[in-house]
Amino acid sequence: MDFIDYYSILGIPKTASDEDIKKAYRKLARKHHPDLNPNDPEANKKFQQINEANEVLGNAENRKKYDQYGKDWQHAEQFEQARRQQSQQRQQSSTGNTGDYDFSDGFGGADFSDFLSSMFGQEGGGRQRSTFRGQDYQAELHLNLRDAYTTHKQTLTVNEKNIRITVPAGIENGQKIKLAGYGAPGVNGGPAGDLYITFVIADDSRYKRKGNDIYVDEEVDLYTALLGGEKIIETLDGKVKLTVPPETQNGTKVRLRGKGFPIYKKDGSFGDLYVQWQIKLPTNLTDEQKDLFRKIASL
Amino acid sequence: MQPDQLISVSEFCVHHHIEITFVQTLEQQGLVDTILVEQSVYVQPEQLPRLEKFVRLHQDLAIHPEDLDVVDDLLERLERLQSQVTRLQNRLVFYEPLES
Repeated sequence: MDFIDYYSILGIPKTASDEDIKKAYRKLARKHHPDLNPNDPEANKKFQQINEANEVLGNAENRKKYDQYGKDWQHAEQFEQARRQQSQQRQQSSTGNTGDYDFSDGFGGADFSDFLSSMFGQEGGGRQRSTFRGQDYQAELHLNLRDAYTTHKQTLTVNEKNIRITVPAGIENGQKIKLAGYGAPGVNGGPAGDLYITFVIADDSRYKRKGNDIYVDEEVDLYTALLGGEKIIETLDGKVKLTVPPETQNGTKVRLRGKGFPIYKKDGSFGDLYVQWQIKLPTNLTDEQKDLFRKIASL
Repeated sequence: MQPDQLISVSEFCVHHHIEITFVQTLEQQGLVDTILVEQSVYVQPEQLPRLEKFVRLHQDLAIHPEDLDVVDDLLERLERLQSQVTRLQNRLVFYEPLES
């Protein structure tokens, strides 16, 4: 467990007044508050640190304890343990709670650092009997384009809990789905929050997606482009044989209806595949070939 | 909807250490909807995440309840712009060559 410098988190000197602490906290909280930075896990993490620093430094008693033990906080923990044991022995009927701090509000007490709980204890709950809904969780699921092409199952680990979900074919980059009841547990038996999963779909080196259509560049040699022929191309759905008409121009597009991306939650419906011919000129021509091209050019 | 399926505003306020007037202000600004059942005020469970967000903004950032509608409006705009950025990024991939 590393020592956490709450003063540096708030960007204030050790001599800062209570007013300075309050001001620094407010300034940083406004910048990093999760409600003002939706879908930004970094801001969430930063806000928790700021909040934790404020919980300690913003309370005179906590601050004194923190200032007193500083880097030797491990000794503070031992001291606190010994003090708690003595206190428990003296008051055998006591409930055993060691602090008045309620770190369970807002963005989840479980996320506060071990450092804080080791210093001040985190077992302060139990004063509320009302039931409340748990907080919502946000998660990202990274897929590649080929994964997104088919309906498949994925296992996510959210807060050490494995969740198996079905990802419908055709999901889009940035699309968000809600799994009701998979968020944080409710308070005092209240309903759990929801889990929001944002899909992040990586770009593909071959296929480009635009909505439900797919675009692909396909090379064709000069002779086939000039004289016509056939070409087998790879699609996300397997191989397809295409006819290249004679005198095909560079950049010509061919549309293959229904060979594009599956349409989200519309079974059996697909976008189109556009194949763009890229004519490849021959290189390393022999003298004979060059002569033949000169002859054609002079005709 | 029966009261046992609703969230009591007074209980909510006790839990979150806020004054009832806070929820009344939000209601007057059209930020949350309340329901009056036998002289008790309730909110629907679906309103809870939104209500809790306003409480956090008020308590963590000391935003005055009267100013929360402005914040809410700006957050909605931010969300719309973020969705628009994502949509445009998806389209941009189509026009820009991939870096290998």
